[in-house]
Amino acid sequence: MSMEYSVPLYWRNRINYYRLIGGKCKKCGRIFFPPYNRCPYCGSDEIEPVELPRTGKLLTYTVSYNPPEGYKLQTPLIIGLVDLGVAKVVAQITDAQPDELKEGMDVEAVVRRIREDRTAGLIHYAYKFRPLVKQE
Amino acid sequence: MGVYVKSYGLTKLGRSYFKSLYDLVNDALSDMDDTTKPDLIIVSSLFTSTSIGQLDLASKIAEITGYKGVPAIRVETGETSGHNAVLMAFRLLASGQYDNILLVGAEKTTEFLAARMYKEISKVFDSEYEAYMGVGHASLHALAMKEYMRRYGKTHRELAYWPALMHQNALNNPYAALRFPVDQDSVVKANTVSDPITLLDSYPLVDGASTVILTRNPNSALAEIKYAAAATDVMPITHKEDILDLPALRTVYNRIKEESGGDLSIDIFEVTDQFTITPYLIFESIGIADKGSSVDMVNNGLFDRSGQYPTNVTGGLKARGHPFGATGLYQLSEIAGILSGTFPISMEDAKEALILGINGLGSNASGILVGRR
Ligand SMILES: [Zn+2]
Repeated sequence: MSMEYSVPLYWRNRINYYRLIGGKCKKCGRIFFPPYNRCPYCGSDEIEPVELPRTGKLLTYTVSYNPPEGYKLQTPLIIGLVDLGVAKVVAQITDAQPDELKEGMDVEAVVRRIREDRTAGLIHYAYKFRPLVKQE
Repeated sequence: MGVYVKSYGLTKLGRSYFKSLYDLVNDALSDMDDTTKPDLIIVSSLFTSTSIGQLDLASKIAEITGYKGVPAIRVETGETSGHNAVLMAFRLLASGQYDNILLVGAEKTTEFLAARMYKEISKVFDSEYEAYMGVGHASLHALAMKEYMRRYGKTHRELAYWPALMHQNALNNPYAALRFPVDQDSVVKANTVSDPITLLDSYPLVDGASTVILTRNPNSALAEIKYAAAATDVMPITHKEDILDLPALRTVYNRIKEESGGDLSIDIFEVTDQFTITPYLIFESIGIADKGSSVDMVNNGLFDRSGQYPTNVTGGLKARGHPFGATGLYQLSEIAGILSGTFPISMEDAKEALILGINGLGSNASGILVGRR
């Protein structure tokens, strides 16, 4: 059994990955994702975790036919830049074919399998976004 | 106190399956043909802990170049590693700490299948929140390219003037990896890597090495390093105010301008055009083009060799190739060669050149102002 990815790293980040936790700066008010211990805009260390909205707009996206190693089964991989209003997120776009997507459409976060760690068999989960399912 | 380029050596970029990284460094050293003993060696390389499995590469380089005993360090700042190696050497020489510094840039990107390399390269972006999600080098540039085309109403074919120009420029560069012409239509129609980026919008994966000796001794120098500067910006693109803006590079450009008395008269620009979109972002971020206007300027020939802003006259990353850790030193070598008339491509009236480099979408940025001797 060999492990390619660090388990402690994944474990530390899992809440951010599952629940989209960003950082909010108490000094300048900016919200950012990924979260840091210090504000990337003003340098303050007064940061509180904040759960980001789970819906937003798909600003732009790209369909990747030559993704990095480890994502072959998911090819083509759709990568989107999503605006959640208070912060932006880069993520895989799922549950949609490329021709069903368009810039500006509403999307929502879901937790999905990102990859499997080779023979170690560990499955890594994190956020992906899909077109917003309208409630009738 | 001045800092000068004494000599440079290059290998032809390409897929060197039968040569090791050390063979390539040796070839560059032979091409340089300068036995000046350095008092410091600075090595620039990104992927060697993966590609050849070696740490403390600098010591090994000191030994294989015949300079065992000389202090040696390695600089790694992603795609600006070579530029920052030059910056460090420039500052150390200018401060009088050293007299002669040997810069060695070397990279092997063809030791594994391309997908494995793409995974390594994706680490130039945020590792835990971008590379982790399977986001590759091309994909983040693709997001920028698509956003640029949407925001300013430009077509892929218009942007493709750039790669066609780079292939044209590389025809006369004997060290270039891709020495064949392409037209704008073939760029657009090539296989898609990450839409809208096609294979011909992208740099080729290559192996190569470059060596440069920087010195305080002005005698018989090829060119002068007039100034060098660097700056950093946020790493995740989601922290950027605007995906199309490169504020760190603007800081670098303005600092170099200030240092030159507020006025720059650049005869040759040399920029890191990783993908078709990248040079447009660079020109608009440093302000030689207004936002959204660089595509028309490029299409009007302003960045051709005969234009107002000759840029990447040796083919750029696009056609010369992008040997990552060695890229900044290829740029410096070629520029020093052109300014001194020792390179196969000549620009007779050129007196001053500016080399600009970015990592990723601008997390690290550096600039080197080079003058004719
Ligand atoms: Zn702040």
